[in-house]
Amino acid sequence: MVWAVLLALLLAGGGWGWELTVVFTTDLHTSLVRLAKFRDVFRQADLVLDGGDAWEDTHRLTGEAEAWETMRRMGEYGYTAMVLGNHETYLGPRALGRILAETSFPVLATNLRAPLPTQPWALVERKGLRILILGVLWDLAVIWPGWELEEPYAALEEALAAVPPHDLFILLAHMNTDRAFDLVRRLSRKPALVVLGHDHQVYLEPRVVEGVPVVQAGSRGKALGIVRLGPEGVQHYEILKPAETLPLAIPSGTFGVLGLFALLALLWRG
Amino acid sequence: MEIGVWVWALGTLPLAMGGGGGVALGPQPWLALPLGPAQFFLGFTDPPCALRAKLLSGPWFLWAEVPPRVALARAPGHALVALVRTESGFSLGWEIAEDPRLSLFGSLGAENALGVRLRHRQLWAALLVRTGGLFAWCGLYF
Repeated sequence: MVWAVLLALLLAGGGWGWELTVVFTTDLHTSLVRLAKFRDVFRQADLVLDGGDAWEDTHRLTGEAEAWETMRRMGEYGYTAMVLGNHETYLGPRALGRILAETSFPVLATNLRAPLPTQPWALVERKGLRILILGVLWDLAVIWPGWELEEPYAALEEALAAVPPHDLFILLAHMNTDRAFDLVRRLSRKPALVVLGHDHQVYLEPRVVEGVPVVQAGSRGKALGIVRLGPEGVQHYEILKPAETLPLAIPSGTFGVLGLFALLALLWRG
Repeated sequence: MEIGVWVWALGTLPLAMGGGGGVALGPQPWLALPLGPAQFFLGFTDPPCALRAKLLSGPWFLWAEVPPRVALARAPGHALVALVRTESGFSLGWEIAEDPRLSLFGSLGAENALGVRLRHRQLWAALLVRTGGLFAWCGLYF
């Protein structure tokens, strides 16, 4: 009888000797060339997560083409989910809506009410574990007409009261570090892992806030994080950096856009 | 440029860049109706109507208007910035939101103005200083 119960627990995977490999990126800012270096690592992961700011780079004035290409490549690499970052909002509601409609993995925005195909949560199953993933953003986001951004804590508590049954909860957060730490402290139900983006920091070790590991892997594909999670928490943590940092591509459309505007302005002078 | 036209052309960048419709109530009220990728403007202004055609809708935003005006915009960070060629020359329209409820906005160049906008969901109210006068506006995005 005892063996039958143990076997049932093992098969159910409900917290008995499980191990999950989570690979994560943060603040990619369309760094496709660098992302490609990690292709083999993605294949070995149970979950591939992104902490937001993947599809736009203001420094390089990237265009819609780079956003589309990054989204497609993330789909090819098997991303499980990402959270919307403030830079995704800079794409504008129409371009962002078009891209989101074609994205093959969930893009989470638990605290955003907008006519966009984002999701408040994602529930995935790996190794018999039902894993709930939520994602919130806050700092420096552009709130377009028709959008409403709820305070992350209230939105998360509201979502956690309504989500389906699950064994594990992972939070993707795109906001300032201090705000994220405070959010983790206040949450009534603690996540097993927080993937944090926005501040472009590389955490060589997880920051632990009230027992919750918070991880971040820098920006622009210069690093990638690997977490092995088990029933006791983080079993292994590693930040991978490629031997050489590849240069970022120059966006192709910028000069075309500027040229078109100059032409229109000259032709259409008042 | 009349003040109602200034609010339409340079003073409501979230509407110009984001699209959709809007109403602005102030010294020269106006209504903007969305027509697919375009916006139709009707107001107590001279001229009383205008049309804006969206040529690019992000992350570069480009639009052309009749009466003639052309604008190139971008959201570099949480600010909205638009270089607008108006009948009086080039102007830089801008709006910076430090908080989803409060923003500063204005324009520099051929058209100079400065305002502060309070926003609650789809409603907004603004105080605007332009050509030495202080004007109160409010509006709605839809």
